[in-house]
Amino acid sequence: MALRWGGWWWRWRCGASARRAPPPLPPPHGSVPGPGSRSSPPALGGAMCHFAQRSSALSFQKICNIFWRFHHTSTSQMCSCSKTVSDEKYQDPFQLGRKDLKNLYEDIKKELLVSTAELREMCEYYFDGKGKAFRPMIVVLMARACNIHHSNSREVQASQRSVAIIAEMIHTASLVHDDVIDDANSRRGKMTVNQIWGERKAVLAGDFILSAASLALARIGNTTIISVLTQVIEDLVRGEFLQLGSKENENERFAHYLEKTFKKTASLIANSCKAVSILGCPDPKVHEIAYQYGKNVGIAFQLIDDVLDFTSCADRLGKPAAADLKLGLATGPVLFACRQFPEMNAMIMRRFSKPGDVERARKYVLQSDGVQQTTYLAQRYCHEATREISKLRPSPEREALIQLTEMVLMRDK
Amino acid sequence: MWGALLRLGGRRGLAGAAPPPASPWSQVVSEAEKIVGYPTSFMSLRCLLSDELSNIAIQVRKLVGTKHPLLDTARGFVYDSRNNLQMRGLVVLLISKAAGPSTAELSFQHNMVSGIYSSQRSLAEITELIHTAFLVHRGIVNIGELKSCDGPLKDMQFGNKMAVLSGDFLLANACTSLAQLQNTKVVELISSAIGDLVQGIYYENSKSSEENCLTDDIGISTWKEQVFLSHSALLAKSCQAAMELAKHSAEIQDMAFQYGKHMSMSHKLHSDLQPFVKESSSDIMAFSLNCAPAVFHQEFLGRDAWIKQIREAQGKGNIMDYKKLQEAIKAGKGVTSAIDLCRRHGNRALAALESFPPSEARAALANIVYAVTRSALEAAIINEARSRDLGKWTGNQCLLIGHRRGRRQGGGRRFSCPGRPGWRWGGRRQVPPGASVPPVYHHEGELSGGRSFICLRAAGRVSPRCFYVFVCKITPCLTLGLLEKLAEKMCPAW
Repeated sequence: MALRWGGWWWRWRCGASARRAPPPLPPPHGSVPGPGSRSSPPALGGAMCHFAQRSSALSFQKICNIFWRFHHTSTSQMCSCSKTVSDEKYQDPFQLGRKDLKNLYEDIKKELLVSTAELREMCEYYFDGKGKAFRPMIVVLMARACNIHHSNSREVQASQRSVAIIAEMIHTASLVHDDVIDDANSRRGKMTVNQIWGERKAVLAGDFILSAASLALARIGNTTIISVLTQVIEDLVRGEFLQLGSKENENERFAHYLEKTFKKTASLIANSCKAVSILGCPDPKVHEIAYQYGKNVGIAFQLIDDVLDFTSCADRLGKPAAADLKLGLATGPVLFACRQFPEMNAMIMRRFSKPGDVERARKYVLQSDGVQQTTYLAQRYCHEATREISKLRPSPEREALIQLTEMVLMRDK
Repeated sequence: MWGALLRLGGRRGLAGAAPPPASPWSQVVSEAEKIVGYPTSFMSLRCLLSDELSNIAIQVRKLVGTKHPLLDTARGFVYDSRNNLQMRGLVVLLISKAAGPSTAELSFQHNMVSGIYSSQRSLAEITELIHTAFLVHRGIVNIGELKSCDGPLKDMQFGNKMAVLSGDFLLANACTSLAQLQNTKVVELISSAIGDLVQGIYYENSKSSEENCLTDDIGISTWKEQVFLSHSALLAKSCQAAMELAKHSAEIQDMAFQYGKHMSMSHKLHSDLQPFVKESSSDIMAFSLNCAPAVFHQEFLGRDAWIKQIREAQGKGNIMDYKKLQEAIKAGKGVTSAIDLCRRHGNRALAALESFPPSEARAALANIVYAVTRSALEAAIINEARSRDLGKWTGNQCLLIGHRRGRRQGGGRRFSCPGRPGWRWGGRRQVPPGASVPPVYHHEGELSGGRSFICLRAAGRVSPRCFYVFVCKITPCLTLGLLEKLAEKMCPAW
């Protein structure tokens, strides 16, 4: 059974990789056919079917066991890797990337060339320097780590910095659209664009940021980079579609949730990491390391985000708490809690639409170990990310990326 | 004088591009579709059959009975796709075929189907996807501005959700196909076209969201800039990108851009003109107060007088009397100026086509322009005839359309035509004594009973550019096709 799960696991992880991805490294569980054997991923519908078939035989209990087992095998590998660099001191990863990210928002604003003052104001609204700039940070650190791995040069190339800018722009464009879709009122502690200017204009502002991002992307002048980052745009939309549907079967539901998490959050980080690695280093193995690191960190990031939706308060988050439940979404903590409280099944299926559902579900989740389990799962993804990045040549940037995984787990907003 | 006209009329027009008898739009399109190989289904199957879109189709059904605009967009998508949704893709394919393979790319000719590269076919599809995505995104409603008569809030929120998602989905598909073209210049062009489109639509939106009885204080030059962004940039840049995909020179790329730009500008003007030139006066179409004739009208009249006219038309109860307003605009020079501009853009599109070698595809592209400019000229003649009350004219008076430039060339006099610089209406003239009405004059059945006209075509190098119309009496069924048929029959007699 473990092997079977492992097969599913790796298939899923790699199948989500970009279309024209170079053949990735052989998976650690040798029994699994590599993803390279599939020339192109099937259409989403096919993938989902495949998904369901592979996972339906597993009970939730077993999934968790296997997660645990997987965790154990990977941590032992990870430890051996990180020991080689134990003499290097931990650094604040944000300090290292800060130099490259100076003027990030100014440069983004330069990309948003628009004649109408109001449209410009809307487009620049979230580029106010108050965001975490989490994605650009990972991207520039990854760029430096790959450059050092390849040529011992620490400098970030202009094209790599453009990728960081584009990543932040794509992210922001999707935020603006998500807020319209979810009819959200506040984000990052201020009103959303749709609240201030109305939905019509907000959607157009999102479209404009996206077009500016793809213009900047075209100007990098590398068709591979265009393909890699365009995959993100497709994934974001597909992820949003996945969020519309819900699955009846517990296991399918979990797979569905993880796939959605990958598409909506991790794909952007994974593919922009991959893009800078392609620009910095010709070795396809490095591209896959960068991709895997970004993917695992991205999923962990979103899992913690889903946890914070239950544990943090609105002031800290800059958006209302329990927002996911109110939108009818069953995230990781809910899915774990549902194991202990099967009565939540019905609530999940009706997307918490009955009065009192949200409050009850929230109570159940906090009573259960859903939060801990989700955090635990996030930890494993972070370990996996660390394991991947440790394959690169040691550098302060590599250590910073490892430390960044810790920060993803520790963050409270 | 008539002799000079005759000589001009004897010259042949552009080889192969002599305009066919005026054909309805759908005929022009279906002939053009034959040229590009197969009936075009631009919304790729891949996209239509996807889980996401069928999901949307199911969800949109829930909107039936609500007032969300997405419903109309979806309906138009199903029933009206021939006229609106595929025109851009078709033009991209036609111009690809008209340009043919460049000399640098001869080795790749085997990649062509019906003279079009597969990358150019993808591009045509991308253009359609982007256009459709924005049709959908145009229909987002502002939740905060809803009134109770708009139905339940929840429905509208759901409609918005679907509209954002489906528009994004189409756009994401366009981006993916664009990346697969593996050409950074093309990605750059199309991305900037998307940016233009957003800005153009943004402008449209910010106008219409305001109290809709007031217009913006814009001149025609601003109007042109905005319409370029919202209606022309995508097609112009797609045409250019199609040339880039076949590695054509910068000059050819620019000509393709010019064709796309001016063709779509004349299209927009044409559709803006419809409420003012349609024959049936019984049902008055509501029209935008920022349509070209109104903008011209405001420019001639001055803003204050225009606002006053709007206020008068509005009357009590804030319900706009469009008929009254329409008459006010018709009385001014706005309609004529818009017609002129429409033809001017049409002519510039035709001029851009001259850089391409004569071919079936080029003729089809020209026909797409004629379909618009012809009806603009028809409108011009009808409008002029109406304003001069031709119905009351006697049989030996004529209306001269065209303006003598006074420069002699090749022995004949050159006449300017509607839409050309320096052109004006010739005014009323007496029919010269020698020029008796030829027998064909009464030949057409519907022209009998004293309500008739005659016309003479004085073709310049590009035949439709230069018309010389000699109208004796206006008929209600006056169309350019009729004018031309008559002209052809009359020419020998004159």
